[in-house]
Amino acid sequence: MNISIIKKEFMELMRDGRAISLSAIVGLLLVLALSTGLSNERTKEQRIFQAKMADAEAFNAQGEKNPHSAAHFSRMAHKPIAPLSSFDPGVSSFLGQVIWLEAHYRNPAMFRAAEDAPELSRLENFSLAGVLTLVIPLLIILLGYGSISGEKERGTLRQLIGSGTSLQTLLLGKFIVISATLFFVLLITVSFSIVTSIVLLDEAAPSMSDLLMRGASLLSSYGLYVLILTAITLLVSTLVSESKTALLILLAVWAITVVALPRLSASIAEQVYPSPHSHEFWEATDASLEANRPDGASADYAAVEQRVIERAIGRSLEEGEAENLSINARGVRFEVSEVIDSETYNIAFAELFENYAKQRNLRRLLSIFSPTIALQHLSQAFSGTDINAHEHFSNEAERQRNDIVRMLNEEMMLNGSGGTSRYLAPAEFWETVPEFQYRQPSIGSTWRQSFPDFFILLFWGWIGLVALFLLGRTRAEF
Amino acid sequence: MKLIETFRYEWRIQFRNLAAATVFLVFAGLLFYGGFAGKAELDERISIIEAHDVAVAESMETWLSDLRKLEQGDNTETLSPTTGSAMDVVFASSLPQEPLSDFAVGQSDLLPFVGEISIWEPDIRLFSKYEFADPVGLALGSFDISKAVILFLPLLLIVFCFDVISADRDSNRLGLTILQITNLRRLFWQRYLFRASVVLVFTLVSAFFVLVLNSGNHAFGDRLPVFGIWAFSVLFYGMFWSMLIALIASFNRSGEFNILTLLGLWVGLTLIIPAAGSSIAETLYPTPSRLAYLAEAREVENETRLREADVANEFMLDHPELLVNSDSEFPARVSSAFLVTSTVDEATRPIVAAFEGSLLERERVLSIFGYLSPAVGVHSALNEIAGNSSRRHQSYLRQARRFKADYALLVGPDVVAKQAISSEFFESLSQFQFMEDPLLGRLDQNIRPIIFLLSLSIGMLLLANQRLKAISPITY
Repeated sequence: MNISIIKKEFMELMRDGRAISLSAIVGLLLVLALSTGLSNERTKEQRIFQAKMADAEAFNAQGEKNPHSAAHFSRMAHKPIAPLSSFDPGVSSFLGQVIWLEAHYRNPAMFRAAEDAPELSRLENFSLAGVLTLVIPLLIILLGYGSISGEKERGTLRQLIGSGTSLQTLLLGKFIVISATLFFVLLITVSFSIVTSIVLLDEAAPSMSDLLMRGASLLSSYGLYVLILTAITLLVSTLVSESKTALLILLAVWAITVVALPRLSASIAEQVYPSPHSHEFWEATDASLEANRPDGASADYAAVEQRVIERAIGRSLEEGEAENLSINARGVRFEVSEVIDSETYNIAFAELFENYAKQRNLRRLLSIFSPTIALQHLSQAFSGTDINAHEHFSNEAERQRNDIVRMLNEEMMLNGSGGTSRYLAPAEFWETVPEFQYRQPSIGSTWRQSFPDFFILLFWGWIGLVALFLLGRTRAEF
Repeated sequence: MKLIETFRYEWRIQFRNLAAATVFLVFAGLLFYGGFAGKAELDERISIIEAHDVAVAESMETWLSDLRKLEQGDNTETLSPTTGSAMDVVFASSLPQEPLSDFAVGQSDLLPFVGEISIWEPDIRLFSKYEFADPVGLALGSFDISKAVILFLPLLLIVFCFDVISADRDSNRLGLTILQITNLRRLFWQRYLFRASVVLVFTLVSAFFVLVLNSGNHAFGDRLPVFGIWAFSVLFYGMFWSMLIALIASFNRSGEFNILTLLGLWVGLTLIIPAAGSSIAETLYPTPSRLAYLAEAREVENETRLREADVANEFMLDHPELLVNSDSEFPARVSSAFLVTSTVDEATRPIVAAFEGSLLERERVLSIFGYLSPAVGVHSALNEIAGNSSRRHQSYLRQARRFKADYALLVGPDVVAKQAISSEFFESLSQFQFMEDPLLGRLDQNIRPIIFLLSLSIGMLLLANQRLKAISPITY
């Protein structure tokens, strides 16, 4: 490898006024996206903190109250800010911020931040990830479209080849310079995001090492994207004889793969695997709840009832003991129905998330036409703002709902003698109900779920490089 | 060369080749797919509204039949103790779908367009069970014909018009061309208008086919006038881009320069300015916190429950005519829920007003961006024409909340007095009807930026014409 080629290419790049001014514009956009993203995330963080405090205060100030009424009032599970949401907010704005942990019902998250966003934000995403995904390919195209075709037009390619430099060496030099320049932009952007995320770390956030791993994963995903695009750009520049033609082809590729296909793939996925209508989902869930509730006199019901009582009193029941226990029967019924219904809700929500997974798999399949789709999946996953992250939160919130409701039902079972709902728990009882301690999923589990997307990018990278260095060398027109 | 010969020549050179046919095919595919996706979304919304109306009608029919049984004294022992309670009356509400709703999905996939109105639910939970659409699709924005036009029409115009004279220049024959013809400007505009017209006519004809194919939910006659307004907006958008391309082309630089400049302008005007605009407006004018709204509602709910007796007394003092039915079997939780919900709604009304205020303020800021980018104004106009704008959805939510408040005011005394309403009274109740603002009134906000950009287009045309005058065989 001739170092002088890299030096020469780099020097040309530095002297190119277009490259400098474009880099300045991209830098400005990135700074703007970072500052607006940070400002929004900080505001959200403060709001979540205040809302959590207010929620705890309201719950603890219920005074003397029937535990079942309190289970309806219940607590709210606030979704924390994702580790790198200032880098890529992903779908977090479209999935709700808080879940009401109410007795009898598993609620979906409420208040989608996107509902309050301006209508215009639906046209394009202005996060750091959005800017990088959209603009990096353009920068690569603009830096690389004339790399070989320009040399051909000027007649310098023949001269270079004639002087003993192989086309492969020349291609490698140009490839290294363009991709290294863009990788530098990536490195700065991701580093800034990580530093700011570390500053904003809250108790739900992953550890610093986890954050660094996320940063490295983002860097490797976007780095692969840069390699793929650089290879495609140089390949087109090598195969055609005019820079203008190379530019037109590459712009068409960009418009289709970066702008059109990601949108189309989401639309196609929704058509092929339609999400259930809200009313259908709730009707079906209500019907399943009805069907899965065993008869009060059945053995199944008795088994759940025994389990509920044993859990409440903290030991196994002896034969015939249940009838003689001084326990609130209404409280037992509430908890039994809670245990039975909870399983039905889990199945219904698992099916909903399974449908989202099918949509994601179809988009993955379509990413064989556009690496941008796979990159978007990876970017959201490593930023902690994808559907999997939300599913994790939703399931953890459901676990907390089960714990809270169980605690309140057991309070009624053990202390509200008789079969009525008139028992009032003391005012200080509410403070004994534990807070929701949510830990976001680790980078390890994110990698396990995202490996297919990374593999697709690797495949694209391999195809791109092979095409550039084999096809480019053999099919190049001088 | 006669005009018709120029057109023939242009047609043969520019459009009768495989590359051009492929580009048009892809564009038509995007338009038709956008139309198809928009229609699928519209059909889904209509089926949701119909199912909702049927479900509410069925449940109220059962409710009314129980009430009649109570009034006639039939099988009263089988009836629920809350039979006839005004609390259990549910109203169907929905945002009517406009004739051209399939042309722009707008905010309809995100904001509520249907929901039960019940005084059991406080305002904050009135529309909390939203649709489970794919969040990735929501984040990327639904794909429809309007979005296809906003994003890709300028690209198509750029591809076919950027080299109207630079092709001659790049192949070193511009001087010869100028010498052969008497007027370069005429040749430029003839070529230019032909190419731009082909693209624009193709777009509008494709859209017309989509209009015809998608007719079904609304009569074609109802859709046609609205389509006329949609087509006018698209035409304006196409004209703006055509003039911008003409201006850049008139600089008489290389094709490479033209395409790079135009692409930069496309990225800036179509993607960056709208995205940055909305992001800046969101940062400068954040809406009040929904979480704080929720916290406030819960705090008030708790306080009201703790001092329920006082709240009930206050209500009685406000309604001295009230006679509580001491024989009523209505459980206390019904009147208690009414008092709590009403108090929560009243206490949180200023927060809702603040929400609406900040949304208006933000819209005002964003309308400024409409002067900077035609995509901003046209995107908003096309959503408004389709009836799926944020403003129309917010108006629906406002009207639903007002309807609920009016109903609560009407039946509140009966609920607190634990009295059932009569079936005659129920039948005399008016149902929710969305009060529509006229389309032209809704478009009012978009007209000024459109006029400004139209004037700018005329300015660009004059400037391009002026620049063309300066091109001579010696100076080019």
